[in-house]
Amino acid sequence: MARRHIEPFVDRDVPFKRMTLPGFKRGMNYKMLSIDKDTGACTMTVQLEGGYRQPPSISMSDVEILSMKGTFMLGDQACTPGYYTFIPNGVSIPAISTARGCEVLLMYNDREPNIIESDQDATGAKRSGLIAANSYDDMPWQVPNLFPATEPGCLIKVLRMDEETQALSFLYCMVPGFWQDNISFHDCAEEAYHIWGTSWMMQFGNLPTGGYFWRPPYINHGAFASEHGVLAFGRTDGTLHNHFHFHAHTEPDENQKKVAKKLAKHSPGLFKWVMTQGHNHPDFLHGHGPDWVHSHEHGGPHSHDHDHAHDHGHGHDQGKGHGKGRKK
Amino acid sequence: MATKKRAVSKSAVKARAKGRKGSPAAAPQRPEEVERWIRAEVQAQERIYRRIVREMNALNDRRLKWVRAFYQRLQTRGFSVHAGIRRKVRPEEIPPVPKRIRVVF
Repeated sequence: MARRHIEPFVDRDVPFKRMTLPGFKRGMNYKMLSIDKDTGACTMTVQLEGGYRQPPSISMSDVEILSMKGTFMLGDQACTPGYYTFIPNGVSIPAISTARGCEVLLMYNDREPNIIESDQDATGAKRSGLIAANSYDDMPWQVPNLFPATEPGCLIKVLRMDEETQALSFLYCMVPGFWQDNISFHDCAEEAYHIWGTSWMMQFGNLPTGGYFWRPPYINHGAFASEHGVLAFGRTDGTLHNHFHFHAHTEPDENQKKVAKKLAKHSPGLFKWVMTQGHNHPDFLHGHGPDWVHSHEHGGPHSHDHDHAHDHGHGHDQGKGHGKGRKK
Repeated sequence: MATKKRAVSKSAVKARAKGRKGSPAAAPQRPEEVERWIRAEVQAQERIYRRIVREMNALNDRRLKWVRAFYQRLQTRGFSVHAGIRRKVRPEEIPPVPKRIRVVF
């Protein structure tokens, strides 16, 4: 299990705590929004007090930061509200400082918050994956190009998409008077933080400014409405597809079965292939590369005509034990 | 302020982060104070989770009213199929409203 279903949670209801983990400088306070009990990966609202200074550093985790209030300096870069950065594991970032204090959303995607002072990248760190943008000033709002899509009046700015998992980080907004009369669920976990504004969902009621959720896959949410509009930050840990329906009482396992049934209708060839392979360890899940699928007779002995080794005595659990899984 | 110039090997980083290879359940090797911090935060999250469950259960009666209103709107304004496309739902398609709806899992 990764993170609990935390929905709804309003961070304004709880006080900041002092960050006490090794390496972090005095003047960093946080509110925990959600945490993975196995890895320590987490999402926090973080307050840096005026005068806070952090020397150049790396983290042993992918890190995402969204500036929400005040300004902090990242080296020579002034990070005003809306500034977003994705820092891959092991990539060194310049010194962080703030003269008057600031608030940010801070996410450690792989493990607990950690920091090592260093002005050099770790060996093998993927600096090409570094993203930095002022999402408020430099990016236009876009109509989501999902099928099916939300009602008009919900717009997004995609900040990051993971090439392998299609996990997304994005800003979204709802215009005043927005409403959408359906119930939605997704195949991926979804997370959101309300930077400003209140929205309503039929299951959870109002989610105001400072409202947050971490929602595992296949959980109903909606109908939706927002009287005065919303500005929010969201993330998924996989492909975001809207499954719309109107049965208010369905539970996640039932929704998952609906998706399997839909797959049979929408992608009959893929569904047939999945169902007729007769085993549950397609090799493309085992790190052999994305473009390679092995093929052999499944009635006979298991043989491979390629150069790799993996232990066939172990038990596969439909892809959950191997490959690049959900990690947030 | 002087900066420690220390390059950290990515393999060491990964090994520390992931724990023993091939065993997802294996806990990464972390200092005890870090383990304590994680335990405390996970416990705090459990308390928040239980509080959310209580609050969402207490919302059940209001939620059932919202669901009845939603089912009415489906028949008049329509079901949001895709990007402004709506379909009016026939009365016989409307599911019964249960006494309780679980929303937190």
